[in-house]
Formats: sequence, structure tokens, C-alpha cells
Amino acid sequence: MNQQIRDVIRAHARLPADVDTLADDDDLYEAGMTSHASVNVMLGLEDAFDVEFPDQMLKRSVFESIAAMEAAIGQLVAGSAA
Amino acid sequence: MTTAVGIDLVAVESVGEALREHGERYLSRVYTPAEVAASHGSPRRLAERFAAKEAAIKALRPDRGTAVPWREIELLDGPQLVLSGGARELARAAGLSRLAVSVSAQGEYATAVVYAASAAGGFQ
Repeated sequence: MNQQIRDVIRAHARLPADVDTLADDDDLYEAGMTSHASVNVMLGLEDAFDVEFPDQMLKRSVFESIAAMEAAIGQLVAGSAA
Repeated sequence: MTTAVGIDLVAVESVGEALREHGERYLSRVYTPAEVAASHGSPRRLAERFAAKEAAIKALRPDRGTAVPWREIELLDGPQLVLSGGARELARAAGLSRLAVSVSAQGEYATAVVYAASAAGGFQ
């Protein structure tokens, strides 16, 4: 999952640096991800993992790091599997 | 008197990318039907609207754990901003009852600035 998330970020976040140089808990907004790029990342993650982020998850904390995205997707996948 | 301001800059190409790759799904997640209709599929006009939404969010200053769905901030012709749901509640809690917005676009970028004030605050 972690590598898939990094692939989506690489494709859509428009970061100045290579995503593989970032730690899981590095702040992606500080690394250069813009507000609209986070929309493209969100949609890319939904495609990659076949999930949909509900409105209550559309908050900065969910998309601010790779680790946060991984946790959120884990919740969504677990919820859909239940 | 309470006042707040927010500003945002959006790359029009980022909107173009979202339209190409996600089409209607992108539009329905981020914009209201009225915004979609008023934008006529134009990435520039959509970028202006997204910039206005993000500028409003910055003025409302939610903490990082508070969700603010983009559709709860609507830019209508005027221009004027209409808040709903949690966005409206954020404004109410902050005592901000008057919002003014201005948008612009040139070349690769669109931008918006939002000024928010309490009923007794500032501008006429």
C-alpha cells in the first residue's frame, strides 16, 4: 500500500522533490503539494484503491502525509470489507 | 469586530488534469451544480472557483482535523460566496457573518481573495 500511495503522489502531487526522498510522516504541503494537487491525489487514491473518501474525511490531516493517507485508506478498505 | 482574510493561487493546468482524468467525478466532488453550469467546462473558470473555496477555507481557519467539503463553499455570479453545512457552522462559530470575494485569472494561474467580517466589522 505504501508504494502505491507514493506512486499516486508521484503522478499527481507535483512535488519539487522525488517522493521517494520523503519519510512517511513528512508534511506533503510543506514539501510543495498545493491545495488543488491534493484533490488530484485524492481522486488518484480513490482509483488506485477503489475507495471513496467520505465528506468527513476531507480534511487537511488526512492528506498531509503518506502515513496519514495510509491510515485513512486502511480504514476505508476495512470498512468496505466488513 | 472580527475580521479574517484568505488568499489562494491555483494552477489552471491542475484543474485541466483533473477534468481529463476524472471528468464528472471531479466536478461532482468539488463543485455544486450551479458552479458547474456557470463554468461551462472552462478550466480557468473552475480554477477561479477552486481558488475562492480555498481562500474562504483559509479565512475560516479550520483546524487540521476539521473537514470542510469543497461543495459547502459555493461561488456564484456577483461574485458572491454562499456557505452551507460545516463551512457555515465554522463561520458562525467564528462570528463571521459577512464575506466578500474577488477572483482573477491570467495565463497559467487563477487567484482569489476572501475577506470575512463580523456583522459590525469593517467594510460596507
